[in-house]
Amino acid sequence: MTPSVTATGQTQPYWLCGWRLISEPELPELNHRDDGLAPEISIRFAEVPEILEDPVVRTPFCSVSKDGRALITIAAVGRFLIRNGTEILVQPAQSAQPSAIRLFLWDMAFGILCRQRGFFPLHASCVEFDGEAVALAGHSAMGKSTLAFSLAARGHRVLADNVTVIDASAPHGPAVVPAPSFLNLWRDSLNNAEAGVAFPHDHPECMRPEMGKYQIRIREAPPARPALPLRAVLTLEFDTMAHQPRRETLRGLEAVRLLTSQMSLRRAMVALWENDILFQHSSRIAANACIERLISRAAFPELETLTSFVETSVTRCPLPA
Amino acid sequence: MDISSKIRRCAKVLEAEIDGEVVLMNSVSGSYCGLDDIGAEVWRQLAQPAAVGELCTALAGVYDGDRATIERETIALLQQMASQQLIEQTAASA
Repeated sequence: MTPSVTATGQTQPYWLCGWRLISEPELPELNHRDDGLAPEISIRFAEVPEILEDPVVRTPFCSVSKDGRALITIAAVGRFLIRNGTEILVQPAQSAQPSAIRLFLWDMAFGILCRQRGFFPLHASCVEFDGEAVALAGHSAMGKSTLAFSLAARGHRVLADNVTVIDASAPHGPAVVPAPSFLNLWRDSLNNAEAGVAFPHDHPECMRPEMGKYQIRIREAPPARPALPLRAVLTLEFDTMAHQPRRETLRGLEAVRLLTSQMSLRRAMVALWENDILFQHSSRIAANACIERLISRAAFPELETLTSFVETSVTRCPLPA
Repeated sequence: MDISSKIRRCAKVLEAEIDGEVVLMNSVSGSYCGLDDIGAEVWRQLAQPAAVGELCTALAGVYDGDRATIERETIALLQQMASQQLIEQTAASA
């Protein structure tokens, strides 16, 4: 049985999205760093308050204070305090497993950190198509990671899972900063998807047995560029009456609204933006990337059909005006 | 609001043109609005404060329609935009 978390005070240096990180929790998802330079971000075990003073927003799992700090609380896992875009403090719950802490670090705390650092964190997985990034957005359990896995099996590099980091202010148009290369899959998705997979990856790690969530870390060289142009945001939706998959292109206000609705931890995230900055970022993304809804009857029984449909859709995405 | 009312854009409104559509956001309220072709033309005409009557004259030069219809529909549009805090009335012209 994996031992529960013990704070040792020892840290390891890693690369995270091109940022220099030191971390007390071990992070097998990341590549080690040996440049010897001072870190930009630290992740440490420490006491984390149970509540924030003067929260401006409070959801069941996350609260945000006036000064932009965010507190994430997950029962039986622990508390995460994210501040200034440079620090994540982690207080594990008693008997919390390291894998469970990592699961919520990447699913929740990472998105907050990215926002604090000036990026647009989209609740999406992301894969590469011919040197460009295509984000697969949608609500939880829509099959984003499963679809990304299926696309990876066809040769599309995985750029992100669950949180796609968008630099909306990049000089040549919105770009995706490649995040740690792993996919978190539900047990049935893993069973259905893994057959015949050819790309190199570690043996799946069970992240949280009670949730049936597994992580596959993908072993391949990182992209040659630090950021890839964002080609499209495809939002997955289900319609049980749909006879075959279809796509709907969104423009203008519809596109902006869809992007803001698909932000990672949306309710908390809105509190971390000033309205004008949020508008600048979301409108720039909407103006430069293809924003579409992909509607299918279901993801898992028709995964191969949906995967082919995504590949075709990307080639047909209209280029920005 | 009537023909003599003078109106202007609200100071805290941001705009972006996305795929040919003008999208506005009131940065104080956080509310969004998308303008159709006519709304976008009204917005462009309000780059400087203007009286409603002047605005209707400008629109009559762009769109077909009798003056009364243009005035009625323009005032209705302006009232809608005012309710969304995108424009506001200044002191009425003399």
